[in-house]
Amino acid sequence: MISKDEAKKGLEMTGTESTLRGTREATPTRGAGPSLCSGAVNGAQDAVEEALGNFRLSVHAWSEAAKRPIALEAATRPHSMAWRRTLAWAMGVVLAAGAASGGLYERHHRQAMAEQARERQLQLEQREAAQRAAEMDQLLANVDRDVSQEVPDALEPLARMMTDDGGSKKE
Amino acid sequence: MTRSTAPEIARREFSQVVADHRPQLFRFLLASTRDPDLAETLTQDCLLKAHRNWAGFRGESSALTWLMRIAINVQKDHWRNRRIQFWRTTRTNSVDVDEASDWLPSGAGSPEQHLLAREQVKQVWRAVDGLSPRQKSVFLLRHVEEMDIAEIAVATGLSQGTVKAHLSRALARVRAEMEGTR
Repeated sequence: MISKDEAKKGLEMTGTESTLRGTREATPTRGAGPSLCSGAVNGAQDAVEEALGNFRLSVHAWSEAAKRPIALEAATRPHSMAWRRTLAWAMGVVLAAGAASGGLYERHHRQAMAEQARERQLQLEQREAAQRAAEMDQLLANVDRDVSQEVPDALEPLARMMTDDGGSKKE
Repeated sequence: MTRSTAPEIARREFSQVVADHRPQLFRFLLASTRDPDLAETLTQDCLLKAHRNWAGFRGESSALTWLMRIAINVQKDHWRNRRIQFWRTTRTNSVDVDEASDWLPSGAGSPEQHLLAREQVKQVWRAVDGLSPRQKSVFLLRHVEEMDIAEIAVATGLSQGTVKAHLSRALARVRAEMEGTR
């Protein structure tokens, strides 16, 4: 994936001192002059340098992928937080007041509706009572009329003797 | 044109410093914790502390060095905190070495090269795991953030000689890890 050359190129591109130089700075020297195993030592050193280069690029890639949109405003301007908190409080108070007044209005509205319903019910009952009374009067009147027209059997002869205008018949 | 007040200038300067150095702070904390969420939280803590103390920053060191010093202290405080200590053992979001090694920059390369690079990164992570917190900070500042010895000494509050010694031990461990798995 990342060749040694690429890693070195990446280091150069950052414009900083080479990581590899720092590695050498901190690493104890393994002998001043050339030795028989200097090739092997150099090979191991190169491998470490390459691994460190890959490690650095890997961490950079991970960090790039993991970083999120910066909440700079929150970090640099704490007073904006206070402003937001105040706004939240104000909105909370407005909402609470709205809810309370809404509740009161709803209660008042319900009371008025109940009152109206009661009045309507009362009027309906009064109207029904009046109607019942009228029906009862009519019924009684009908009974009176029927009773007055019918004559018991015992009084039938007497009724025959009477004229329609209340006088007696002359036979 | 209106004249800017001193606090406004300071705020603008600080915003610029944050914009310039936040990625480095986050990267250093991410490499230290291997936990993106925790790194994000610690970065925010660090910037908040820096903002509170911005007036006291006299420019004796670079802003990045100063911020790194705060980041190291924030990290130290985090692990020292007892409540966190409890959670540290029971709940951690740190990714393991294998997962951390998956991150490689995209580019041309054969599958073999990719595998080799991944293996090398894994070996370095394993070596970093075995370092003391101080060695780890020094190692990451040097080999991830590419700071020089003097800057690392200021950021960590150590002498340059101690920084070199820590680096030497850290590199010896990396080398041992690479030779052990070879």
